[in-house]
Amino acid sequence: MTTAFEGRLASPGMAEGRLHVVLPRVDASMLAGATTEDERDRLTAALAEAERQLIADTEQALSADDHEAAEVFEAHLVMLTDPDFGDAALEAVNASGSAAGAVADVAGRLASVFENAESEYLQARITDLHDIRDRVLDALSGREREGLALGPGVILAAEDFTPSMTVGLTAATCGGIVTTGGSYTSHASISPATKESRPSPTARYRPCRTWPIAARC
Amino acid sequence: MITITHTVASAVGLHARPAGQLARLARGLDCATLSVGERTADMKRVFEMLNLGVRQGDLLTISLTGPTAGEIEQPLKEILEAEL
Repeated sequence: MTTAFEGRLASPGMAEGRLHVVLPRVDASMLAGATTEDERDRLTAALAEAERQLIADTEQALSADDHEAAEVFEAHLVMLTDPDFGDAALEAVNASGSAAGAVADVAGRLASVFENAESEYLQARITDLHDIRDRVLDALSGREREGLALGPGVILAAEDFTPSMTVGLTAATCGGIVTTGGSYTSHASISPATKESRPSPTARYRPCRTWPIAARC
Repeated sequence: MITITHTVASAVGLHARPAGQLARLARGLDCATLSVGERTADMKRVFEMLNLGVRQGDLLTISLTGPTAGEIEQPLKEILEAEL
């Protein structure tokens, strides 16, 4: 039996292969500590871990001569260490009672900066903010960052992909990307092979990102 | 104090990458502000700058204060020229 889904292409091509669905992460607020002080300590450690990861990812991208990825990680590092993110989240622990709740609250508040932007490009940067938020939540829960370079031909599917998920993906490590959300200016659309021309940012879509091998969405 | 003005040429205005680059440069200074019209943001805070909603054609005024302000003037101008 065949199930067909219709969508719009973010790039031309065809992909055929195993589908790997990337599921949303667990709610890290379930892992709250005993006291507000505990939560603030956990969040301080998680922010430091996220910062360490971003520095390491930047260096790794630079050593691989992937300057575009390095710039993404550097921008994330600046946002993570911005007082409006890290410091604000530490303060928000008092109100929310949990480190994860505080991170989610602050990220949600900051997302409105992007949501209210007139530029569709800026609106699409919500995924950058979500990426930073999820990195901190992963550090809080001890979850390892998921590598998506699963092999040639594998088609990745998710609601949308954050920048750190798509960085480093090539035709050799992924057959194509399908999303149910996002936009033509999402990282899923523009990051994996930015050498190709970008589709019109004004169109309405459900992007399907493919390499020259195969794809159908 | 050093003051720099720049008219935004980028079609998408001030976006995340240059805002991050500006914030990184500004964080070593005593004070750095970015203004457009009547609105001013702390240039050390990337979200505050993005919240200005700077668009193509806007005139930016950047003010730098601190002992190392002169050192970042040139790299800052290069970012403005390349990214904005």
